[in-house]
Amino acid sequence: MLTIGKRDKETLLDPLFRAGRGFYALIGVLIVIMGWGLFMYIRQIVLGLGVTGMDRPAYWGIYMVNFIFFIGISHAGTLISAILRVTQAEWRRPITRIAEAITAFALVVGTLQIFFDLGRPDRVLYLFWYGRLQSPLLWDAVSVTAYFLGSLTYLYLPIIPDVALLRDNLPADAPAWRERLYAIMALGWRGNRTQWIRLEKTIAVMAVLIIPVAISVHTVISWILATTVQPGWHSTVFGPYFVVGAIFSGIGALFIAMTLARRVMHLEAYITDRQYRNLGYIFITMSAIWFYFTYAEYMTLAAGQGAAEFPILASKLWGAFSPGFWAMVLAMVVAFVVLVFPLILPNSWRKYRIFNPRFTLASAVAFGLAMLLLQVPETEDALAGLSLGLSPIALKIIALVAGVLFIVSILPWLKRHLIDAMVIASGLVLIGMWLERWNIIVPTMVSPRLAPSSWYTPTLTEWSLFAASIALFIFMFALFFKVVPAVSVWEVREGRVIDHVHSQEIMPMPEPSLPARGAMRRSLEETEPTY
Amino acid sequence: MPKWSMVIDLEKCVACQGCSIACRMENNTPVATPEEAWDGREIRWNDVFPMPRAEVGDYPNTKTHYMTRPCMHCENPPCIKVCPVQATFIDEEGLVRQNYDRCIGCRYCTVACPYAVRYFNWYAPEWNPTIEQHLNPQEVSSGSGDREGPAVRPKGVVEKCTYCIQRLDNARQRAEAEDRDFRPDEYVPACVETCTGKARFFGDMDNPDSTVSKLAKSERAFALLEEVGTHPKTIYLQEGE
Amino acid sequence: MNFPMDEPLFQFLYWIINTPGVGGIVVAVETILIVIAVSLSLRWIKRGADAPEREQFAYPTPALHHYEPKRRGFGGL
Repeated sequence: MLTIGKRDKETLLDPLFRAGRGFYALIGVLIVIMGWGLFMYIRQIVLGLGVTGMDRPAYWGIYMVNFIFFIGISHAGTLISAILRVTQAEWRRPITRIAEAITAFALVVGTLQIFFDLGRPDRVLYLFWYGRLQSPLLWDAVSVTAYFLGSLTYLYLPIIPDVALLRDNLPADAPAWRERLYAIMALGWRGNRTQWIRLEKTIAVMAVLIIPVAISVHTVISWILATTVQPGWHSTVFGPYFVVGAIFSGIGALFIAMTLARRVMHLEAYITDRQYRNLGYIFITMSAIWFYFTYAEYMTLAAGQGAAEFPILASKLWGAFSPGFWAMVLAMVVAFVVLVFPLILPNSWRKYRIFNPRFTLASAVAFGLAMLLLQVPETEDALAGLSLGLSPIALKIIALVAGVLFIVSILPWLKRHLIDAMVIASGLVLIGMWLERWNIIVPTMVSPRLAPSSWYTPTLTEWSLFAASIALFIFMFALFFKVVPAVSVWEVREGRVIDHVHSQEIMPMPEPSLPARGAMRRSLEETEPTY
Repeated sequence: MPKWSMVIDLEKCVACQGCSIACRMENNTPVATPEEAWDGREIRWNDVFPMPRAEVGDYPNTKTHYMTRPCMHCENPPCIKVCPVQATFIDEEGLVRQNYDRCIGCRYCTVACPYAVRYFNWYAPEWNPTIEQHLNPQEVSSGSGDREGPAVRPKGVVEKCTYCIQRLDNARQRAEAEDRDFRPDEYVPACVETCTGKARFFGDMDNPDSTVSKLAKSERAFALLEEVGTHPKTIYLQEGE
Repeated sequence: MNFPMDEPLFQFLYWIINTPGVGGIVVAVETILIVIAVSLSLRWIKRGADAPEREQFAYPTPALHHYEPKRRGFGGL
């Protein structure tokens, strides 16, 4: 019989057995979206892939973008929690479970994209029956299989003591299926010393093993593109570039998931500012590395001016794909500003008049107006008076200045609202990373070397399956955390003891090397420092 | 073992698109609706298209360069290397073949081909009733029972130019029936047979005396996108200026 | 210079990467190995419950690793 404190039981275990109206409404909405997606998918199977927007030469589209995106998100979990476990970062404890769950579910959703993309889903088993190891798709099958099985194990191992705790602390009115489920999942967990030592050893080994597997997964995905000779893909930097992007978007997904879990399940006492601050530092690092790789990738293309490569780069920088490309850059830059600038904002900001809500509102209005006027075609006489005779250049400068002032003036707010700032940055990063994959796949696809260039616009089918994929991801998440606590209970309790012990330690002052009085100096020189 | 190869003399090509039509009739290529064609989904194993930035000169004295493009049947094909199920493969005679019963429709080969000669069946193929009665009934099975060549493709698989591989089978069978050795000049793809300007040549590259071997040594000979290292066996002869 | 494809070693390696079905076998072997390894570890953890130790802990601390438990019969629970 394992015991748990009253407060932990009330916040972590008891809500698993209660479901409010909001929960059922969410599940209902998600099922509707998934049902619509299923209908569109069956329609696609019956009619053929012609219902998508893909064509020749744009043979891959949003399904492939989503495949890379979701597998990328899956790096949140296992990689982050494994690295933090290996480095014994104490603050990791309340968020490892959520991170590991993201991994398992994002992998399921990501693999599903392959089914959406196949022309003959009925022959999917040929991938194994006739699997040829030379194809990068098989490398992917090998590494994703290892990663999926590994992350499931890695998710399950720390759950064992928690379900044993649940098994021993079931409310009186708990349904019988839960009793059975927890009893099976607990694997006869008794919590004696030998079991704990064995469990912790297994987790430690798994944490080390899963890191190279996780890195291999996104490297191999990048090699699907990089091993072809297509312009813009045939790049050596793609392996690390994709891994960094994957971890980057994974942390973004983790921030959003843990904030939602914190709000919905009232975990404020467990997931605190400490987690946000420390994970935020990793987020900033990944952001900087991402900028570095993006710059390295595009700079070499620009400097080389390859006959096939340069038109594709040009289509991103100022051609047909420039809106998506610059939206990606803007999202990433703003995310970086939101993450970093509140940290370096001096505490004396209160002195400056620029930081007040009225100024924020004014600059936002100015930015909006300038952007709106920029959209007005110059030939529209009726609206010509609106632009006050300002040239487009002037409007652009006004928009830029107003935009920068807007961001500057909300910095104090961001500084006070750390968690909101992290969520804003995460949302921007997720959008930016999705656009990054789009900017890698689609521009190369629509302008190959020989075929006449074409255009690719996703159709309703593709958007529906995208929405259904996100719904499925949230659905699995919502159901899972009605069965298993969102916070690893035993790890948090262990962490509490460790924190308590650390708080007992008294940090000594440093030895003064130049004491104020000459009388003390001699006595200090005679005694050796103890450390 | 012959190495099949094609030489196309662009100087002689009149861009009549006869090769494209002959190919379509020979190989049962489905007909795309105008809307589908506008979306870039028409299937032309042998395509004839104007070169990018092809128009030279001032109106009215302009000139357009055309390119006619079957499969290159590369000696180092990027498409077969990426196929996860060996639905596309290169045989001993250098033909890059496509097995419709094996293809899973992942379209990795279509993405990997720098020449964009591979086509995907977005929908189930359709013909108007008259053409449907006159489809080429041949199905090259190459022993394994899998459909290849002109066999009507199901929806969701990739298809491509085969150098009319069924004609090679027919020529071999004829030679066998007549109890004599097969001669490489008995096998000619439909596009070569039909070519108006006699711009296309076909034959055995391994034989130094064959027409294609001699033409391939010409000063005008070049291969498309030589820089991507695919070593095409479809070789072009440059237009003189 | 051409790649030495006539070496038996390289022919064998090419056979491995080019033969349909070998990929499936690799994935199958990999899956089986991982499942066996995971099942064995889980069994090992489960068997830990049979150790003759009285105390049960709802959570560990680092001190648990150096702790000498009172070894008594399992029936004494």
